[in-house]
Amino acid sequence: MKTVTLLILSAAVARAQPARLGRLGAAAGGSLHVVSGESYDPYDANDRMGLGRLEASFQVMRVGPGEVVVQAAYLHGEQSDTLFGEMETNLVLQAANAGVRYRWPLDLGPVSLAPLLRADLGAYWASLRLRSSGQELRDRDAARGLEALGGVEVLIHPTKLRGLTGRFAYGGVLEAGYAWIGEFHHRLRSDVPEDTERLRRFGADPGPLDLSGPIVRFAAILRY
Amino acid sequence: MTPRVALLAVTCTSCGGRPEILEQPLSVGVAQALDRDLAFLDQTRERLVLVDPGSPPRVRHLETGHRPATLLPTIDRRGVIVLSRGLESTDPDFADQEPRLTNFDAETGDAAVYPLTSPFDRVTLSEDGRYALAFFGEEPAEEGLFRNPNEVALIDLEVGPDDENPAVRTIRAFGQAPKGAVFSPPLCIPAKGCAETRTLAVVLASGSLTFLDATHPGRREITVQLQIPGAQAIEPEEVVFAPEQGTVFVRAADLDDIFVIALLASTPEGEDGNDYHPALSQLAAGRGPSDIDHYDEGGARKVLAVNTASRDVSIIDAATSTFVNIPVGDSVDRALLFPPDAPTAALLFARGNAVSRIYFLDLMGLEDERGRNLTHVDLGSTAADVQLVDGGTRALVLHDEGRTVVSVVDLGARTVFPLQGNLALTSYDFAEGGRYLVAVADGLDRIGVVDLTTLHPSEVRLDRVPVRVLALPGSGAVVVEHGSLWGELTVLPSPRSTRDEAFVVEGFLLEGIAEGGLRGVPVEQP
Repeated sequence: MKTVTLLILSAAVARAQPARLGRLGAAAGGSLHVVSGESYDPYDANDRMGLGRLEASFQVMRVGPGEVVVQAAYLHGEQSDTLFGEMETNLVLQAANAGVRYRWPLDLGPVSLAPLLRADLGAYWASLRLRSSGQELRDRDAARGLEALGGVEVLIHPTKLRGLTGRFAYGGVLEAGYAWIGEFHHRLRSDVPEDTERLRRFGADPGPLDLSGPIVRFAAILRY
Repeated sequence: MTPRVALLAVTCTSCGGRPEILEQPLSVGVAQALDRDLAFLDQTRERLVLVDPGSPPRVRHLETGHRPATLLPTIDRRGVIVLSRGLESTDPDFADQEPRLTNFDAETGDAAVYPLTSPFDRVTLSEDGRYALAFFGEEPAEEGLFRNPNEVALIDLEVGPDDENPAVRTIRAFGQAPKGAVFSPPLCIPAKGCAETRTLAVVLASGSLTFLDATHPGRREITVQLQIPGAQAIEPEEVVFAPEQGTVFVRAADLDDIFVIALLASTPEGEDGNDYHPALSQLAAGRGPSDIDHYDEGGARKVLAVNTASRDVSIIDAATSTFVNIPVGDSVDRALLFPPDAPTAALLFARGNAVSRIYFLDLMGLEDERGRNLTHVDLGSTAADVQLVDGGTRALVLHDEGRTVVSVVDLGARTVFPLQGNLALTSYDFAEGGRYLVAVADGLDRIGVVDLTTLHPSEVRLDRVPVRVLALPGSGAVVVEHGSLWGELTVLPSPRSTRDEAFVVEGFLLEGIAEGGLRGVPVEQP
């Protein structure tokens, strides 16, 4: 706790340190979506959905005291629960998004601290599956979404620890914000194998699924 | 605030969990066939689910009152009656709600709500569909401190609810809760003529019958005590009306006598007095009557009683109470009179016992011809049930043993056509006014169709094994229910449809499940 306080105090007085452009970054982490809409209730008793996230980023320009970074990411999450005591539900959410963030690095020697703001636009796919007594209904739908987050990034520069200069850094990021995700419209039907002759089927419309809500995100970062 | 608390505060924003109703087992009653829709009562989510199995299908979820208990199609099958037990809410988000009877119009979705004073769980309708009688079944009360098992509510469904509709009565019972209730057809009180008919509700209870005048609901009920010296408590089982004679015949369990109740004109006493009174008499025509019915011969009303113990049939003149007995020779227990609108003959059979014959009894001139009017046909195997089909020109015999699963009886020629199969039928219905028999068997993924005019059988293969089959008279569709938790139906647009024309409607009980508005409040049961 003392370390964190010290870092924050140091950052407040530190001089903004313009970084070199063209640095590449990679991040792996997770995010927790809080989905408070009632459309999510049938598929999860707890209003929360965890997603894994992989991201690649690239510094493109310097603006004012900070820098602009573009990024692309892939997200994957799965939530299983039981509905009406005996019906298994499974919701898989995948997303591919790309966006931009503005980060303001504060040089604290071998450690840099960077408050950041980011926005990502993306495509989301929600696969819904319900199982009961060996039967299964399923469907997949896509929607667009926008995420807006703010947070802080902490990077450690190992070369600076040895008094040298270098591009490599590692660290972590903690962000919070909100995801606006368009409604998914599923039509639940039995999964019929292609080589099987089956009667024409009319599925069920469970109603629009809205997964919008607050997000908390954390990730480990490598930067070069 | 520590970081951990801050993180929890963010992640738990609005995390209120989900309605408890989604954790409870989905309790949905069996389908009821309406004119064009199938009706399901979803007791968990307190909804009436109507499925019009067209292409594409139309699914509607209509809210019932809290804790719906009973669903009954209306007489014309264009709607349903739902009894709800109401709610004494322990949740401040839900207001208390009184028990109610809701009359749903299946075509429009409109509902007429009649508040009730008690959470009744049984309802019966008059044959013209105008009146409903709500009452308690014999099951003991599950909740509450007191329950009056003999309270009933009489509702005029053609009039909206008001202070006098429903009319609530407590019948004078001499035993337990009612065993059942029936409505009469419009009856005449003979001395008053048939210019003004009335519909009576008759409540059957152990040792008594209670008459309520549905046409004049403000009038007092009349209770008739059924007693025979030395006999045990009398349990009325079947009521047959002779409407033009103003006579009611009552058969009781384990009793040889048949009660005859004549409704005689009288002067009303007070504003709520009745203009008739019942006169009770008994007929002892045979032993162990198990079925009664009535017909007219030359303007005289006759009552037919099937006497299982004495293996004969009694024909009773309703006006004079004289009777003749026709020995049958087998312990038949049921009679079907045909043609249905003006019977001239009776088909006698036994359900489920070792009798593999059916008997034909010509009803005209029986007093003179007696046993000469009785003929029989051998079926080859016993009958589980027999029904008149095709406007009463044929009878369908369902067997419960052997390879013959169904026999079709030509009631004119009095000949039998057996149809063989490998499995006993578990569910069947008649489509297109009785022209087609549609049936399914347990474990077999097929629906069988028999054209009863040609007796040509055909089959359609299904994707899954069936549970029930229902025919919808309005659309002509034949619907197979598969018993899935989320609802699954296979629809044949007509009984002549091939597999190429059939389609499946699945998941309709989940329709709109993500749209919220979920009803159903967990109630603390005592």
